[in-house]
Amino acid sequence: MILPEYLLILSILGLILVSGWASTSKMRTLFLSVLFLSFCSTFLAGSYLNELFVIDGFVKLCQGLMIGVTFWIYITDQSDIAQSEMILLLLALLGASLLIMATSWVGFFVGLELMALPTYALCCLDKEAASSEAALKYFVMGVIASIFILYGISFIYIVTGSLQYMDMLALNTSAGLYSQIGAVLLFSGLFFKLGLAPFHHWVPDVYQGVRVRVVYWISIVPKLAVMGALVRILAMTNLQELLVVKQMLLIVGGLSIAYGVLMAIRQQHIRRLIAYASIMHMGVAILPLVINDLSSAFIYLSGYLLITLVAFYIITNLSSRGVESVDALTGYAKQYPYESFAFLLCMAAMAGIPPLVGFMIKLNVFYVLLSSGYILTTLWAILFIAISAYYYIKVIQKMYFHTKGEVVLERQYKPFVLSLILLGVGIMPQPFMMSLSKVIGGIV
Amino acid sequence: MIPMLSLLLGSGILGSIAVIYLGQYIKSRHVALVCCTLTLLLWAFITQQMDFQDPSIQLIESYSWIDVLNIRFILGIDGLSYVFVTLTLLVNFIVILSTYWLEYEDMGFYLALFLFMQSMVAGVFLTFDAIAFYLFWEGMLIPMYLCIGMFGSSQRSKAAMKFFLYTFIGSLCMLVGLIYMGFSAQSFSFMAMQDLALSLTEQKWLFLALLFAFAVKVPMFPLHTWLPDAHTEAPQSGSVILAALMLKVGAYGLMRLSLPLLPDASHYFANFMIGLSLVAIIYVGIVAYSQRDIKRLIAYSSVAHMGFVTLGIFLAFGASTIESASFGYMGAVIQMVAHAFGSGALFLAFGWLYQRYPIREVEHYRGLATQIPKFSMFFLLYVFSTIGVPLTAGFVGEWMVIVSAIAMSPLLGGLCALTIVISSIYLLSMFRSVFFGEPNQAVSSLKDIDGYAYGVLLLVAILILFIGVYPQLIIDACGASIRQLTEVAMISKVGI
Repeated sequence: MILPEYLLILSILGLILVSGWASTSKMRTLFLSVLFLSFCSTFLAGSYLNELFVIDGFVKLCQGLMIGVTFWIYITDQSDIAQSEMILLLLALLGASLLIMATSWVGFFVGLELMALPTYALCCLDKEAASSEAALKYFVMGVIASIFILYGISFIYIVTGSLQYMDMLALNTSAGLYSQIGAVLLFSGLFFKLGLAPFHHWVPDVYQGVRVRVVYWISIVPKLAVMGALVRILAMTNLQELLVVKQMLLIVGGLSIAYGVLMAIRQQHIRRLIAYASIMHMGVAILPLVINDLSSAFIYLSGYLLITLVAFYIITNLSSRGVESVDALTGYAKQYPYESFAFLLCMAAMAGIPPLVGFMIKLNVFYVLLSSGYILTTLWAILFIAISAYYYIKVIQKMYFHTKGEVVLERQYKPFVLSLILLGVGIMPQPFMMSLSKVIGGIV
Repeated sequence: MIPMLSLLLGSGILGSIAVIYLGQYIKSRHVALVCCTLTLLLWAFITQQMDFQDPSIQLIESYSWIDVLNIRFILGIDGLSYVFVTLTLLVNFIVILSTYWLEYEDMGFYLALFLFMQSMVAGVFLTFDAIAFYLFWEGMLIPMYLCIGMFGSSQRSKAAMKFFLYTFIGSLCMLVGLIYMGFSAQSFSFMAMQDLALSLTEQKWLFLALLFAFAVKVPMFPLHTWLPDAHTEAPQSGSVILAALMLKVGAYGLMRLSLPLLPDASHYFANFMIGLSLVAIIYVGIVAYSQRDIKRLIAYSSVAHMGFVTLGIFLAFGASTIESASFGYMGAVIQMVAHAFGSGALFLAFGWLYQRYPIREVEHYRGLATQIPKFSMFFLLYVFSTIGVPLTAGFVGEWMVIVSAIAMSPLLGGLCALTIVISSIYLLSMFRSVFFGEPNQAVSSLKDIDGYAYGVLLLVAILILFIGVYPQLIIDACGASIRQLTEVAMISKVGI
């Protein structure tokens, strides 16, 4: 049995060893091939279950996605990769894998920290003021969130006397104060990691200050891992039956939607705008968890991450040309018609305009919410989605409606082709939604 | 069997791609024109297969789409859809013809937007599944937004943003309503929703949710404020499509969704809707009189005339028999077609003028009639049609609506008839100051329409006169299905 985790550990050690004499370009090749190998090996791993870890379809899917995305980000970026960046990334990937595989609080916490610590370090690779500030904020608040989680776990341990997820099922849902405190602390920490309001303060600074390539990675992989862990926890325990958890999900979801949208309106920096938008999208993503619809939540998240994947590919290109603010996009459509069109599709998909993927995932969420009677919640979300159209449209407006004199036409087909995925999945969402809900249905 | 309706929708989308790519080698206008002509031929072929006596939905194509949520992709056609799709294709054909006198830097993209919108608008009229309906409904949004924003005049950004936000907020409300009905009926098809029992309270809320979207599009007072801006700033073809097609989509939504699916709520709100329509007809008419900008004036007149449409639809609930109910309903349909050609033609003709003399204020024009007599002749005909002078298209619909209003209450009928007076005041006084008198300095350099423009304007004029003289063609096409829709709207759904 070839586990990608073994491969990751071995390659981390190997890379540290080799880094003494290998050149940067060779290291890059080595790094990419390691990623590719572990990506392939995720599909070879069989099913497996013990007290600490599980390997099932869901784990394989998440691992495959995370490693695949990392591979994609670093193979499309031509610039040099520092040796420390490679090792930190592999460590974080290892942590993310453990996090998703965990079936006990020990594995969960080890995975979470193994993912989080290298991520903080990744943020301050550039020794610039902005990125150091972002990294420090992220680190301090992240550590506090970890303490919350640990403290929460300890309360849960007091009640159940066990560290297994499964043993929580015995927990009486009308349970006493301890389990409620435990759940609240645990979820607060998880919400921090997902970047939800009011635990969001690191998100805008990290998105704006840190190197684009790392932001690209942070905006996708940790979110997927934490959401995966959340889905597994909710599937294997009955925590969501606690009233306080439900209320928390509703309030945090609603608050994130409102806060993300309202703050994004006035943003001028593209990545900061996307950061606030991500707070809003994560808010929508956790709403189906209120009615314990894990697959809808995960479908929303995957769809949103797909849009982010395309959007950040373009933002990386933009940033390599020095375009960071929305105003700098003025007249962009004349110079880069294909890339602008791709960005238009991304923005429209985030706003949720059919037939793009953003619409289909929202439709799915609203369908399950309305059919469970959460009408006001839906209207709340709809209201802010309507407002959110303003800032997405503003970006399109800058690109298309203004001209800035003579420009040289440049045809960039790659982002255009990539953005057609958003259209394709949007028109034919059935396979995408079916396969995800099947995999999530298969969680123990 | 060939899926002809899908082909019809596909032709516009493929056409828009073709225009962009082939536009690099041949003139993109030729490509667009060929594409439009092919679509019209396909439409003629579909016409042959239709049975207009049969009120049911024909040529149904149903594809499985998103099974998880019981969403299917259903296309079909009945008399009502037939009339509107014909309108869509004809108007788009005329719009493409008229682009020959326009010149933009990015002509291929401009034409592609219109071909794409043609498919989306036709899709709204042809689909019988709520989510597909929403898809086409929103599909118009981005192309129209780009059309106003990229090719419009100086205030275009603001107007485009206003247009987008109004429509988007409205449609999101509609989406909530549609999803609610969709999961209650366990299916998103209109047929299943029609059989769904809903309490009056549910119906009222759903009606308001749908109404928000439709009222923005129609547009009904007080949600009409985006329209004057959008019309004024949009380029010529954009204004024509807005007036002739986009506004019709809203009224079609009322006919296809609100009335048959929510009959009790429609009955409940009928007086409210009639009141709003009257406000639109009279108040907006007066507002139109005070406009100094010609395009703005035509836009306000659009709002006033669309008031007739909503009036005609909701008068059905005051009628004593099915016959008289469907009479007003039919009046509304004819009024929509007539307004498409009347208002659309005014925008088209003014677009020609604006191309040569880019000023929209009335006071900068004087004596066009002596300077460019042929053009003035056509413009006068279109003005007459918009007012509703007998023998033009505008007369038939307004007359039918007024007759059913009088049947309901003479006071209501009187107020309706007043609008013909109001609209002749504002349109004719505009016409007088623009076209009569001595030509001023700027106008005197204008040249009259050439043979090509003459041909296009003549085509529109013939259509207007034809509908005015022989509206029976429209009545024959959609009579059966309108009768059925009225019948459905009269059956209560509470507690079936």
